[in-house]
Amino acid sequence: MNALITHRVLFTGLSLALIFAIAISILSGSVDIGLQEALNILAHSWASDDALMLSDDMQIKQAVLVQIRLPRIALAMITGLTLAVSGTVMQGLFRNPLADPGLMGISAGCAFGAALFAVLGANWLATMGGISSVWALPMAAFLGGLVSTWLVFFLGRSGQRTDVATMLLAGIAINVIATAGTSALKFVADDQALRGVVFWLMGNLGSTPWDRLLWVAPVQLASVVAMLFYAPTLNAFLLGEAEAQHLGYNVERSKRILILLVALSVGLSVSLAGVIGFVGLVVPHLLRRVVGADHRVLLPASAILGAVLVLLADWLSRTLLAPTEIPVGILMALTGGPFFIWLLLTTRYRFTR
Amino acid sequence: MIITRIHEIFGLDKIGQALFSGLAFFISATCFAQVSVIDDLGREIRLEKPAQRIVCLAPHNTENLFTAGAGGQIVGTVDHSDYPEQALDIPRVGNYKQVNIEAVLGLKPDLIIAWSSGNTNESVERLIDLGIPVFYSEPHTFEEIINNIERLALLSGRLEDATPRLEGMRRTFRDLKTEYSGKKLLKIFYQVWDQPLITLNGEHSVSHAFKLCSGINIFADEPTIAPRINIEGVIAKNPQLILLAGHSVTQAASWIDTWSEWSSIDAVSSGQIKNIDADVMNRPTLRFLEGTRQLCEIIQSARLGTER
Repeated sequence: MNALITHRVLFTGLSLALIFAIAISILSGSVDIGLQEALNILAHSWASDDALMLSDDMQIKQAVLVQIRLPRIALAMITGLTLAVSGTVMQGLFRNPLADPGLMGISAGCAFGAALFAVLGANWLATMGGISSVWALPMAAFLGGLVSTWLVFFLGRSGQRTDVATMLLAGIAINVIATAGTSALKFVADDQALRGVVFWLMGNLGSTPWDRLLWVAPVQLASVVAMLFYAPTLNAFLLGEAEAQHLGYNVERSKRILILLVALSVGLSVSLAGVIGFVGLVVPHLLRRVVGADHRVLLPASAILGAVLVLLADWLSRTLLAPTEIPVGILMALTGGPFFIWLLLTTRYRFTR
Repeated sequence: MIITRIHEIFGLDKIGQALFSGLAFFISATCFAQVSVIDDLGREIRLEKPAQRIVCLAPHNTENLFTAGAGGQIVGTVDHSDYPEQALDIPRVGNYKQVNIEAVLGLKPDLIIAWSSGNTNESVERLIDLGIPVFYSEPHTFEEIINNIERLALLSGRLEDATPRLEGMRRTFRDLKTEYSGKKLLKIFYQVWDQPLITLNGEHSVSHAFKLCSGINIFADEPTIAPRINIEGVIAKNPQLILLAGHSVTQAASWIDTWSEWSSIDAVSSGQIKNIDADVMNRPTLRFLEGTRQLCEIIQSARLGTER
């Protein structure tokens, strides 16, 4: 294990980066809020709920900070850590450097679910009443992701075994089918409904209020924490499935549980925040280069770096052309893509080093 | 003159005279009326006689032809041509993005009305190459809409018929202008989607309508035509009126919830959040003019509401 830097340096650096990213996210936006004001507001909101003591102007700022920026920051962080940890798990599980959460058809399935809802479901919902559309679109996306992941998983099974190579191919096929389905819907749909969904799919961290976040985030967090416990298993997987089996790990069961956890957490993440690519691919590669392939370090480090990256991307997306927002998914792909190529060209590291 | 002389020669009675002059008009309209207009891309379209078999490649073209009085001469149109109701019976040749060229040719059109910013230009060019006259329609402002309808009336030989209607439209436009120009400017947020928030910038025809009603689009200067923005941007710009341009009333109704907790926005605290029919505002047709009249009324009532 020839890590470039010690774990203490790594985690200190990552924590500082996280604090920096949170700070600039808190302080940037259309409404001017200074550092002093932000601290006052936070202290105030923490201590008590007597907003009466704040001036009108400060009340607006408090609302902006607490109801808009903080949930957005929380969602960015949770999306980033979910995608990065899932990406690391997928690469370890598939022993394939190309694996990322999108591979299981989750993103494409979510996109199809959302598009299907936007084209066909909106009218149906109008007649049903009841469910608010605020919930319905994420739910449709989640169901789409669930169905496609189940299909990939089902196709990847041969007898009692789960064959990762077959699953990889099945994932590609399901991805193609779901993407074609989405394109077909785009073709028949009228413009307005679709524009909304297309924008939403390109990454959207700005429209999830606390109540929705508080329902979904705990499930995501719990899945991610559960994945962290599988670090030793993933280390054993690097030697090969048969070897892991000989070392005493229940390979079949671990595979099934990890895939379920990835599907659940990424499905929820896409449902809330849209498709944000590249985090799950770039983060594990970058970290493996710095700290080696030990998942006990790799997984928690991925979590923090993922959160930092999505926070920074979101910060860029809303400040570059403010008040117009550039969809964060586009930004992530535009910066992540070249970075990934640079990484490939400058390092000839071995995947299982 | 010729007609009266013929009448003298043949000694026709009153009914015969009427019939004959009708026939003479018909002959002159069909035989001698070579028409020539310039379309919205600056191309000249020359027809030997007014078009009798017209194919429309965009819903707004169908609507404008009906307004011009030539609805009966349309032999083919595209999906979503749903207004007026008679338009639903016209055979379809695809949608505006994907036109079936063979279906168009099968209808033997003598004029095609295209839409350059919507149609796939390759397919329209194929039709031009095949020798069918194509009129590109691209109206954005009120003057352009009215001029469009006027030229469509000319091309289809309906100008005489359409003139009173065109006059009426010009009058409506002038009246709106005189009624609302110089009124106190009102800041407006025009919402076309809620998750994420999407609005329209100053290039969109909706912003022209705002101008006519003395309203300002708070996001007029954004770089893209349908910019995605965030709620904080709306709070910072503090609009006095929020217009929800949803697809249906139920959809727009659910969008109101987003705003209820932001009472620091003037439009929210004074209850100036209104629905508006997006279909009417999105198509450059006569209905856009009617929609603008209603829009001006909404803006005016919001103006009175905020002054109170």
